[in-house]
Amino acid sequence: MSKIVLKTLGQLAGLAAVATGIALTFNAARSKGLTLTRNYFDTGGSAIRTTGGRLGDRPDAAGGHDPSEASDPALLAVDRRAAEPGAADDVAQDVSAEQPSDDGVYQVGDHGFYELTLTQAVRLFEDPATQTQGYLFIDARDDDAFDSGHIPGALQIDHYYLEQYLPDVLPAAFSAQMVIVYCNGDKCEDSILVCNDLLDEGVEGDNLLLFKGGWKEWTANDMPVETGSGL
Amino acid sequence: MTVASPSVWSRLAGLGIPLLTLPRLVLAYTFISMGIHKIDNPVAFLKLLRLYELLPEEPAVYMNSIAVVMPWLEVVFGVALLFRAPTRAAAVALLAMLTVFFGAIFLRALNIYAEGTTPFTEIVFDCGCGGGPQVIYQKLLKNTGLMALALVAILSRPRPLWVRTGE
Repeated sequence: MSKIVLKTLGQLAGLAAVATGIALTFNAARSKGLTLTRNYFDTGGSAIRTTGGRLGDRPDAAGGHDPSEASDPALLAVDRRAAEPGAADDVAQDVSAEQPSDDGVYQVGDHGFYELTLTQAVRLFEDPATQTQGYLFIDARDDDAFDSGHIPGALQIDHYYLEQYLPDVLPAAFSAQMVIVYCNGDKCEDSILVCNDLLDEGVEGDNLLLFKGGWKEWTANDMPVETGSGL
Repeated sequence: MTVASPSVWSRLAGLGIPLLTLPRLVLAYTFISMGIHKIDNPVAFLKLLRLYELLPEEPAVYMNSIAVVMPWLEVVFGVALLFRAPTRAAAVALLAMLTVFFGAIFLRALNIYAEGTTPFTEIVFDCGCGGGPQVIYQKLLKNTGLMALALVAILSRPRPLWVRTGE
């Protein structure tokens, strides 16, 4: 009996070794292979990403940012608008062209980036600046999802294969006034991951906005869609 | 002299279907197709693996390696079972994998159930098996059936079971 067991275990180990060898070889050879040592889900914690870098602070209970800790006009304007939505001051007017928010503010989410509602996303989409990529939409979903439908004019970054997408998208991201990133919506984290990737590449945190409702909310409200790779 | 009517076994044998080959074929086909589906989209499988919270995210090599290697284990063991090369070892491996899958799926379903918002029989999620979101208690029943097939494959003799009538 023990001979049979040993023989079976030996054969099992042999098959497992063959499978492992094939798996690692195939993964290394294919363009869509995984990088074994890379943590694909590192969201960088909940530090605020605004003012162009991680501050290591959590957002306050109101979802804004403590004005005493930053001198960035965009942040101060956001906080002032949060406190006094109708207030008009020089700082708010200076940044109003970059952050149109006559219905309030861009709240900072737990992930540290500004979040957009559907209304705010639509307003940016309909702004003429979007036609010239002044407001740049980025789709954080995979190729199949992107090709089957995306926000018109959006570029694509698949966080899991960054090196294949960044060279084409980064120049546009750097020159855009605002970069709006979305994925499926709901519990999808890919948009947060892409925002972090862009931040790591040097895109200003103040210019990164996350459309939380994502593709699901966009299509549920019969918004325009575009299919294909967009190339 | 009367001739007894053929038994069920002899009628089945007359069809030429080896009784104990079917479990092997069903099991092999299931695992080969599941494995190919996962190989085709490693990122989707990695994301699903993460949802089970059974593996640490750091160091990432553990979870990433499982995501890369496990689908090929399914395919290779499935092919080995298909071509009887060797049958028992492949069936033992698949039974072990099914046991782990069953435990992981059950634990995850239990966690969802413990939140108190969903009855156990209505819990639905994508278990990572290749069929998309599924009603989990039905998936657990299917897994139990596959485990039974694996046991049959392990315990069956190398030759198929025939029952021949005398002539």
